[in-house]
Amino acid sequence: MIDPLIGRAIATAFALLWLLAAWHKVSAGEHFVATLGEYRLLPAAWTRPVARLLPLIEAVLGLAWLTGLATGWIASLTAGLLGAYALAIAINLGRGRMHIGCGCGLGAASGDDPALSWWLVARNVALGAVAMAAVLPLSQRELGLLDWLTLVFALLACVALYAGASQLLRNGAAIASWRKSRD
Amino acid sequence: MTDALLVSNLLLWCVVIVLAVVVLALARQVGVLHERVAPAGALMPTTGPKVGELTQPATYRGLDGNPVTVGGPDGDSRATLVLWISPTCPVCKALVPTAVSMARSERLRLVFASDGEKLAQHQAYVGDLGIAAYPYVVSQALGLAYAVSKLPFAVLIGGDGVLRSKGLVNTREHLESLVESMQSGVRSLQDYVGITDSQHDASLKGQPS
Repeated sequence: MIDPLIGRAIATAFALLWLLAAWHKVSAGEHFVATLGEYRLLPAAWTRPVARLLPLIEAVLGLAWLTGLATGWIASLTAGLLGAYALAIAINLGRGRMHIGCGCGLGAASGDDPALSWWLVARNVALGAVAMAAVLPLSQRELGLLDWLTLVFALLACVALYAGASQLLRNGAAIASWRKSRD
Repeated sequence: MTDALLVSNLLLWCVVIVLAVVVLALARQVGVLHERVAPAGALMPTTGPKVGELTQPATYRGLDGNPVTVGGPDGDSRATLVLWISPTCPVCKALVPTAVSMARSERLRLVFASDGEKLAQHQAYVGDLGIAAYPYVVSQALGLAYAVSKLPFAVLIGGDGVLRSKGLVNTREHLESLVESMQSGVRSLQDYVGITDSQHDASLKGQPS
């Protein structure tokens, strides 16, 4: 049993996450097609259609989270998609292709995606676990004004912390590349 | 009691959000610092001949059998760009057309250098890149003479035989920075920052306080 506020917070946060991720991939345009190609997992002819399809799936998932319907399915799909991304990153890390961008930023594309790292895999797995928490049954409770305030504050804090964590990943990649070119 | 908890909760939320924003701002500042500090020009190793030194002429055998002289004053007083590449280095391949076009526009004598046993591999590589018109030296000695450790590496020797600039060149910008360095007389980005800083300090001192 989890509190309805927690369920609502998870749903809103994932709606925000998927919509911003979809926006990022659309605004990155050709750049995202190239990034997906760099993952070297799909036949070349599939890269472009898949690069167009992924933001669409993400946007639909984001809107679905907002409706609050069929949470079980949506949470599983979310976890599955995040897991697939984590696997794609892990495969490329295994191949030693750490220099490629992850194509996983949020919001308007600025061309500085963090490079691949195991942190990204850990992040996706953790996000998937949080999404699956939304499947747990909700206890019954009326949400009051204070709960909605808490929701807004919690989302604001999450957005700032997520952005901070992404920035730290970029910094980490910058430090790593610097260290490599020095020795 | 409930009121106190309510106020404390709201206050704590505000503090949490402000803290998260501060953490984000700090991380961004660190990121900006990295961008500023990151080497924008060709990264210059500290080993090997120094920029400004007169290079010693040495003759190597090119891939086509003709002797190739690197270093020392050039007969036509043209500057020489030596670019170390290798069939096993993917970045090198992308840089070759840049080097060729730059050599043409800047009137440089372009020499490619590499190292390795399999001459047939080098010959196929030269054919692939379409650089048969330029001297291509396969010599470990040439690489050792200029302390080449990582590829693609380039050195620029002035027409007078003086080493003008050198460095690891990963991008077109790095390669251009070598010519820029020869023309401006500033050895590296690190030097440039030092010069502008000291000018800045001087202009500050000149101002009436």
